[in-house]
Amino acid sequence: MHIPVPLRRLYDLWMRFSQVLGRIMSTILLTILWIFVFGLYAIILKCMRLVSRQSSKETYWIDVSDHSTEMRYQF
Amino acid sequence: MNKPIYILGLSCFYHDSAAVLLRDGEIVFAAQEERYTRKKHDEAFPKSAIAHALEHAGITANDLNAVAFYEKPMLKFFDRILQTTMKVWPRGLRQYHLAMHEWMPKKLWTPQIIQKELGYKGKIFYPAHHESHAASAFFCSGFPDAAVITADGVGEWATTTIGHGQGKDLKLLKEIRYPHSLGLLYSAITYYLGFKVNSAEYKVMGLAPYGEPKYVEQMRQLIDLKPDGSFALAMQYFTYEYGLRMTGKSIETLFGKPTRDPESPLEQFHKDIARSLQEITDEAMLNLARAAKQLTGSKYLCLAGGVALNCVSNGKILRSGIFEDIFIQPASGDAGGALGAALMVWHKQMQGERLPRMQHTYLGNAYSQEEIEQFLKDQGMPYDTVALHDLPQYVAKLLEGENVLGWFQGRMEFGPRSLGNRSIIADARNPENWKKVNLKIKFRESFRPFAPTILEERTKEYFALDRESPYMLLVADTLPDKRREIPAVTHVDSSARIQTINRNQNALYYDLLKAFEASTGCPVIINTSFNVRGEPIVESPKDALNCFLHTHMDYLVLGQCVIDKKKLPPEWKRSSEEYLKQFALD
Repeated sequence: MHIPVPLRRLYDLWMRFSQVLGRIMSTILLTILWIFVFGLYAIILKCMRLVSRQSSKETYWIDVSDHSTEMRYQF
Repeated sequence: MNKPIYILGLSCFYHDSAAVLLRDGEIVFAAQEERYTRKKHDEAFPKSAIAHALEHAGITANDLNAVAFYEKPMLKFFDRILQTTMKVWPRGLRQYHLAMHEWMPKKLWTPQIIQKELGYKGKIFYPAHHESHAASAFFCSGFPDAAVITADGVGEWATTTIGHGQGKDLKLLKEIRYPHSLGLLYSAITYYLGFKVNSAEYKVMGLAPYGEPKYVEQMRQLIDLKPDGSFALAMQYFTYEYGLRMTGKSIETLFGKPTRDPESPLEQFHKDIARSLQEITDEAMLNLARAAKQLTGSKYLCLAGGVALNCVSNGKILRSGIFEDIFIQPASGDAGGALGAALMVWHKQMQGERLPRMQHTYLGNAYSQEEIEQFLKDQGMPYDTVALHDLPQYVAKLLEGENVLGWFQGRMEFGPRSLGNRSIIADARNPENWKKVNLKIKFRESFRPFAPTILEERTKEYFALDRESPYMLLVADTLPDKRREIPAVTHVDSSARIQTINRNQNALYYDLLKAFEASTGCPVIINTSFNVRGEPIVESPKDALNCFLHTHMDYLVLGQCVIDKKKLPPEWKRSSEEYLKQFALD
């Protein structure tokens, strides 16, 4: 993008302001997400954990011998 | 003739970025990014390491058949990180924000970043984090069949696994999941003792011999160790799931003392805590070894993951006799994950043939004698040149004269240890060298021990070790009648972290030791990494010269060029304080 020379200083200041604004906005939006989305799921999960039976642990191992070793995907 | 198959393995975005290049399954090049950027444990995308790897092989990214990334980023984020966020809610807001700001602009775009940075449009593979660790050990071991244990902080979910390697196949059988982690337990106590997490765990290991195991019972309240090798942490003592610190008030109440301030004086209490932690870690690792034996029935064991750098535990596993032989990946941390990822693709995806055991870690850049001389001339640095066949005797004489030398030769080592190509070396017989090298050269804590290099054929005369230890990953006792001979490498509890060397591994370094032995009768020298505290190990002649000039080393041997500090004109005098300021304390 071509910025005319007289406007370059203003453009730099504007872009720096947009970075700051971006961080403020993303913090606000992420916090809203954290409260209303993660919070809701968290409360449901905690309630489910309360009612589920806690079995005594003879072992902490989890068997993964039948898990996929597919490498093409990030999941 | 078939075109060679090139696979590039990468690790980055957490700590210890690295790039590894395989050609038909053989390691052509391997290096950590920190060596080029001079930022310790650099986690950035390993652009420099990749560039050097491709240049070394004489190829471009277009010649790559595959790229392998050392873990599954989406699984890590959408499963473990978000689930943990919900689990600890309403705690953890700050940690959540930090994670989001890391992941959303960068880590979630790993394939795009790889494609853009490399100019690469081919296939990218994502073995799981602990599969990468396991592969880095098993496929480099030369064992046809082996049990594999991996243990670290955390990968996607797994923190500890037991697997079975057979031929070209490698399968993980059992795992323990976050937040229950031996690596994070060790890091949490590292934090409690005032040291830097993910950086200074090995210092806690070195501190342990100064202490007594007085707090083992309190440690058992932190971790429930089951006889079948599994374990779980008592999370009420740890804050890393939701906080920016590893531990809080609960652990201070348990041990009866507050968290140590970094750089404050160490007390006997701290040494006792370190020792107690080591006892518990040893017990946990031995339990894992027995469990691995029972699950797989194998004669051999492979170890990888950050906890496999705990060479005290490794030595105990070896001496237990549970396995006939063990192989520990020298780059056991996340840098080695890059190697393991590439090997997973070669063996499991491409059904490539197994190669013999990894013989050495000299896999990085080398600098020719011409390059070194040109560099020194450009700097106006006075030096002497010694003929290659005279160099061992010449340097051995310098060592005998109680000098401390910077030794820069051949290809750079891969992994956290210097093994004779980027090393500071000195006479192990001189007890003064312990203090001199710690305080005046490396500027590090005075309690830290030094490791010996010994001629392989004379190991049994000096140490309670009946096999090779080429990567400094095994600790064994110095024999009683030798402790007074080599005090500078014998720790307070008479142990030593040993490197054995034979001529096939490193001819020049071996010849140096032979020359020293011929002159003194002693086949052992001090070998410590060529860097100061907080600095990555030197990579280039420039790094080596900088480190040499700003410390109290007596000589620098760069290839066949020898620089004598005493002969340098006054304008070459440098300040250590200024040099050290550029490196964050580790």
